[in-house]
Amino acid sequence: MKTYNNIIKTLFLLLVLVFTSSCEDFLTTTPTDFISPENFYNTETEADMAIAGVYLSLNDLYKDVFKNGFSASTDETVYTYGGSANPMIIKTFDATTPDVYNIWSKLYLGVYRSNAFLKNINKLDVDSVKKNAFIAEARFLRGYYYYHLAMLFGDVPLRLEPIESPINTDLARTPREVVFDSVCADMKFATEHLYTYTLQKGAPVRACKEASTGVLARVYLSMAGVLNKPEYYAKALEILLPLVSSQTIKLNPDYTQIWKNISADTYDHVSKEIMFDVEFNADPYKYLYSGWASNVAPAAPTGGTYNSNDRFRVTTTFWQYYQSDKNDVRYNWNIADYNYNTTDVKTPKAAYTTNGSNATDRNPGKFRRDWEVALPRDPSKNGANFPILRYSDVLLMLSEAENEVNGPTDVAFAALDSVRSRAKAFKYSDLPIRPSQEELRTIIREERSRELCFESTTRYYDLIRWGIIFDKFTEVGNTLKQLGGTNGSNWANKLYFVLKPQHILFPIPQIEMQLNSKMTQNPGY
Amino acid sequence: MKIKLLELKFVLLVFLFTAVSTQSFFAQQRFNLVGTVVDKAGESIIGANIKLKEEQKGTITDLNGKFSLQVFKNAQIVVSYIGMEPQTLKVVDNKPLYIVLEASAQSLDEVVVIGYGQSTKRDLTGSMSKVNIDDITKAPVPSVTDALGGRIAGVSVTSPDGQPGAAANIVIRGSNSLTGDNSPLYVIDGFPLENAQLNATPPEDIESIEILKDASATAIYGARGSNGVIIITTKKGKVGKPTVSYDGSFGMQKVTKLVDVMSPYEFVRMYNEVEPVLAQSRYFINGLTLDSYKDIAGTNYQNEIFREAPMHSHNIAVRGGTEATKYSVSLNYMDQKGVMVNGGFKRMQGKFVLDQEITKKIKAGINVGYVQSDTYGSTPSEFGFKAETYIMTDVWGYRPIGTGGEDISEGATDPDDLPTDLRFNPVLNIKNIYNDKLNNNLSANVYIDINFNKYLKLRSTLGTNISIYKNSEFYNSNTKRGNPRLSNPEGVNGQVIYNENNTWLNENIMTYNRKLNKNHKIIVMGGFTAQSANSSSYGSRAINLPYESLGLSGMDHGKPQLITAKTSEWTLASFLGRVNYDYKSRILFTASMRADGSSKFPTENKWSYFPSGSVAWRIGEENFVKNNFKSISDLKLRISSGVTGNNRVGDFAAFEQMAGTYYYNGNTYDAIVPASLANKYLKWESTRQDNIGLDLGLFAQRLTLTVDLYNKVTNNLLLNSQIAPSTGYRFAMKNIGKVANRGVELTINSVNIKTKNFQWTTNFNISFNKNEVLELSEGQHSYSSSPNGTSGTSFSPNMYIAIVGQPMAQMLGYVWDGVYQYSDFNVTPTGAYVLKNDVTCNSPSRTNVVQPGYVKFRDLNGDKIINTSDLTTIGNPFPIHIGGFNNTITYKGFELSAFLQWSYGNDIYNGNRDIFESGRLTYKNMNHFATFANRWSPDNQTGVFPVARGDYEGNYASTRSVEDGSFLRMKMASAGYYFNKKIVKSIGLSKLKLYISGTNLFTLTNYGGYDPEVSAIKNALIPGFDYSTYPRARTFTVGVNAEF
Repeated sequence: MKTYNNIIKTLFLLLVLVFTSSCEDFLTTTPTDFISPENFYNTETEADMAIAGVYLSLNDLYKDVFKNGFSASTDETVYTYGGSANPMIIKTFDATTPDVYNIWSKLYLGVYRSNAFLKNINKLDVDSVKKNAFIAEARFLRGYYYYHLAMLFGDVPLRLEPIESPINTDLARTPREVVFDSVCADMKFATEHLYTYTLQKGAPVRACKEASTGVLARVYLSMAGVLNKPEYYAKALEILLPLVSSQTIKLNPDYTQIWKNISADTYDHVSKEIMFDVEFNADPYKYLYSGWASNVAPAAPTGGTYNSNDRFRVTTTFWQYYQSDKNDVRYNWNIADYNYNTTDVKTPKAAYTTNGSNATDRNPGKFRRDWEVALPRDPSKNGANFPILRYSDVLLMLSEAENEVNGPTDVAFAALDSVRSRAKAFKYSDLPIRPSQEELRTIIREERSRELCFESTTRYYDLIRWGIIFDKFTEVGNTLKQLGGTNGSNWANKLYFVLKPQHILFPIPQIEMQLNSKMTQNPGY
Repeated sequence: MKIKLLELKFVLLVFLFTAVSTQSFFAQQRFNLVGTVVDKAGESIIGANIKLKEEQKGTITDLNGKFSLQVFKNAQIVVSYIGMEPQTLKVVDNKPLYIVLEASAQSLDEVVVIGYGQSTKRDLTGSMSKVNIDDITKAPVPSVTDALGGRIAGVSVTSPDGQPGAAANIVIRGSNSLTGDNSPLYVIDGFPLENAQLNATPPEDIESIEILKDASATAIYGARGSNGVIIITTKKGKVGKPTVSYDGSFGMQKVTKLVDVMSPYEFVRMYNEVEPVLAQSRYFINGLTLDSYKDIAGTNYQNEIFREAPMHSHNIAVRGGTEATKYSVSLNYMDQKGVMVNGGFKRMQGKFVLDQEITKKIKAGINVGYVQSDTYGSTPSEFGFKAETYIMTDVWGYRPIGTGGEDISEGATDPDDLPTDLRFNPVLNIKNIYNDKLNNNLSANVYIDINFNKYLKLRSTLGTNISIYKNSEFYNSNTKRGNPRLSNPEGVNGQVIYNENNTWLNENIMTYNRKLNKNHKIIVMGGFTAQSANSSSYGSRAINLPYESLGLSGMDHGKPQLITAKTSEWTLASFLGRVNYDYKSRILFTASMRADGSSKFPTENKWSYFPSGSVAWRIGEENFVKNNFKSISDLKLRISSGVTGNNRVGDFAAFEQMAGTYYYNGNTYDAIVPASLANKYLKWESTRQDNIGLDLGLFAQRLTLTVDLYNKVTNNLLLNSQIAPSTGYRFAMKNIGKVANRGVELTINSVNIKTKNFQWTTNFNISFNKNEVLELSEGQHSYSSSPNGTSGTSFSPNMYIAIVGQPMAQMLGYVWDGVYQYSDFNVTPTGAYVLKNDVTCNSPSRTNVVQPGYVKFRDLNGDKIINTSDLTTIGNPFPIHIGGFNNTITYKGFELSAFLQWSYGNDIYNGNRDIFESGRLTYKNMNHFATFANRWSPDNQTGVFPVARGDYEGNYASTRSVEDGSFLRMKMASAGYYFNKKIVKSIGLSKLKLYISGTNLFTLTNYGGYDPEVSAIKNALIPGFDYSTYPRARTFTVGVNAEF
């Protein structure tokens, strides 16, 4: 019996020993359901998937806060919805406004994704051209996200590495100029290493060399204005001239075709006018729809197949921009001369009988839904891509930079007129007396609105970099007031006399203030 | 020679005779009686006294509970053991006896199951409670948790609503964790399960439930002990001839209350105020006037969807065995139809338990159970991205009549609704929803016990639990989610998801139990355990199914949607040890330590140590008490302290995860994005708990009283905490934050009267708990939550808030100040009403058009406008105290029992009122609660509610919907009769009891919703929220317990 006991005791001890020694193995489990950076970035396909993830932040931004909030309450549109208004649009935002937080956190999410990509991409074993092209894409996107952060918030924390853990993450602000320099460095690298439009698979959704050049020029123009450093006009000119003269990108001959293509979710790879855009997909289950269609399309009754929320009308100021040439095809395209008066798609649209006298009753008409292929139309979503950079913008930037650096030269007029003649508007170079530098400056400022209206942040940033946002606001507000009626003065009071000079920079979101002890608030909040 | 031979023969003969006669004499006078003494659970009782009644002779049982004794035939023997009811037996023959002793009521020697062992009440040093199973199952309940509420001090049991099969939410001594799980660890027949499905264990099969509360009791479960531990032990075989028992019951359930909704007249009157123009064309046509609607009955959909529903259950068990072999086989069937049509809960269980003695020193056993449970039908509190998507929204809100007073109760949708409207005929919807949650669970455990010698014992177990859960949903065209229309582009749709959970466990526990001498007793327990679990979930969903009649089989013809495919696993290895030391039965020490290693944490934090210590002083055994206070039968002071943990985080929460999908330039690329941040510093949440308790027994334990005071502080909360968004993340799993729970518990048990035929017992318990958030993330002062999540489409996005220095959940909102009266306005020459400048305006901009009768809020900061700075805490969902009060009276065979449960001082946010007492434009086509008839109007200026369209069109919370949730409920009452043994025997039975019982008999409360015991959202941060919940039923049952 004693032997028997001993055997069991020995077995028991043995079991303990075996167990203890293999304990660490036993307690090490490997995830089976999700991908970890450790086991990713190994093939080119995986790198493609990872870079697609960095682009995804654009989608987050443009389907939501960037879609129309910025073009409203500039000189282009006025927010006329009777219900409670988004504080971003009526400029009553403060540090607790959800969209201030959304913009901030979505941009920084994009930054983090770029940084994480850049950290891990080194693992990929491909030739240096391919690898640099991947790095260039991520740096392009990081630069683009920081460009918006610097424009909207001023000095911001500059993170060029992904955080490793949620502990000790406090980081102080970096001066705006340094942030801009970082944007330039990223964009320059991108311009150098990105594939051209023709070689880049997936362009214009994936960034190409031409797009990166154009965005860098946009950054330079912003720096010239915001940092008050006119020398950046020359820098812009330096990169825009070769891009335009190379003729690799052209204008689409028909202005309206651009928007029909967008509505039908097809690409124009011939002219390549849309140099860079954000991909959306109509499939609501992938959550990649674009939500802007219902807000900035011509009005349509709720519940119908076109459904537009009818929350924006164009301003009288904007309407005025087209009065110098009513043959301009952009006039009745960008300012809808009709609305959908029925829920039934087969019934004809109702055209406005009065133009001008009720200008404020007209909706933006740039993004129309008639050519959508995914039917039935979802009342509040569609799969149309959103343009970020078009070639006409490049031409207008060239014209502006040339005018600032060299005055109203042939180069400046040629670029401007190519955009205008496409729209069947008269050419300024045909005028008997050509405009002066100062006059051309004003013309370009209005031309940019005629051509690029409602395209997200474009107009808002233009007004800021030119330093004329308050003048414009007062102008629009006064026109609306003169218009009279309850609507006119209500909208005017609501929108255009609220903004204060310090509000040119957004507040730092409250949550960032609470959780990042090194953060400081922008003045005036 | 001859004589000598004769002599010899005689001697031999005499000798033989003597021998024989002696033999026969002894056979008649004394013989050797052997037997075994066991307790109710079949465990041998060591040291039980066996005494002959007539003489001073006796013996005690040995280690195996066995004895042998020389007895006379027909002698009377008395078998006794402390804490057990003594038994007197008459010796008939020399067959071995098997004696089962029953514990005497409220005995100090009642056996209690503790973590990895057993003890007696006398020897306990920590705070734990044994549930009296007989008491709580006097009225049949589908699951024990349904009956547990109010029974045990410090244990809060809240069922979310009246949904059949819904799991009750059990919280022991307050919630510790903000974003984590606060449910206790369940140990079922020794098998610890974090996600135990308690409704899978039939109450009839349960032998005992022990609830471990303080750290001294729970620390042996280490990393999983901080929410308390509930130990459930099921019934085993007993020595004796096979007994067959049958428990059957049949009950009828009926909702306790309907909410009054508007009559057609009141509805049309309201509609006319909200939308006067449309009202003309809808209701005042064909010569109809408002008064015409007084004669139209309309439809109250509550009457259509609620029914009297039957519930019946049957349990049959065969138990028996010999000393060497004990077995138990049981079958259980339960069928509960829901009081809401087309729903219910069904359960079938088969179980087999075998205990076998292999040699004198080795025992082994097996315990196998298979359960299938099925919950089906609509779940009103589910599916809520918007108020209009809930089940009850349609039940209350669907119009009682249609245009021109027509009957619209037959059609699928309201003919006047816009195509975008979400509302749907509730009766059709509920009758056609197919939502089935089928759970198959197999548990199998084997054990082996080896007694090395008198003191040392090893128990090794190996167990597995396999659970397959299938959730099938099918929405045909007669359901809200399946009817193809503009607001439902998915059309007819369905989904099937399978979840599989496999857990295995190995435990090896060595126990050394020795009485060193008269004064010192020691029990040392040590062991190691290993547990591992893997889970997987696979399923798919399809929409726009073309062949509706095929049901779910037609999913392959539809448009495939998201495919579910998830797998995960975790492992846990532990070393544990405990020492109990008993000095003269006066001072008792317990110290325990557990080391847990978990796969969920990064290498450097894998292992953690959870110590505890406690001491009890049995003051009642001291001479100064014994001599001076004769009535004190027991007085014990207990002090304990210890640390426990909580590891309820995702299996791979410490890893950086990548995920995502993106369609991209016509080609389908999966886009991969970093989805969650790695935290290599992640570790266990730890809870330190201190407890002081006092047990007092008076008058030979007729009256016992237990008081416990505790202080529980949880540190390093595993919090999905907000981090600075400039990091790229909004949330990350961090160990941050601190929560305290402090409280007092009191339990009194009393045998008020005890005579031969009459007995009256009373049990009373009350508990107070105070919850406080001590810390959140760095710099964070509060943490907001909403019933809708962050998207908040129907309720305020910051309706619930956890503020440092206050409870972890409070309701946040405006203080409702009634409505604006005429006196608040100036009248302009045109007759318009303009708010006076010194009167607060209910919106941020004074230009907002406030009119008489509009909803009014209190301005807290004096700026005369209402904005976020006027938000304040408007309700506390935590009760000041909860408790229960039970009385049982027995007279001969009769037994009467009644149980009251209460909760005092908690607030409920009645979200239903935000919608159905609003009169908002948004909800204009919806019927409202009848109470909303008392709204302000020029003719009814004392109206309580805002004028039609006078409510704020937005999502906000206010004191208007906060209600006192205190209640006193007659939760259970039963009357039973045990038939006289003679009668029972004459019909071939050994026991027969018939009873009638009722549950939820009445509830005293001021709460206006269906039931004050409500918490629709399963989230510790959003307690006491009511929206579209399943009403609770009152049940009357008749039942029988029989044995033969």
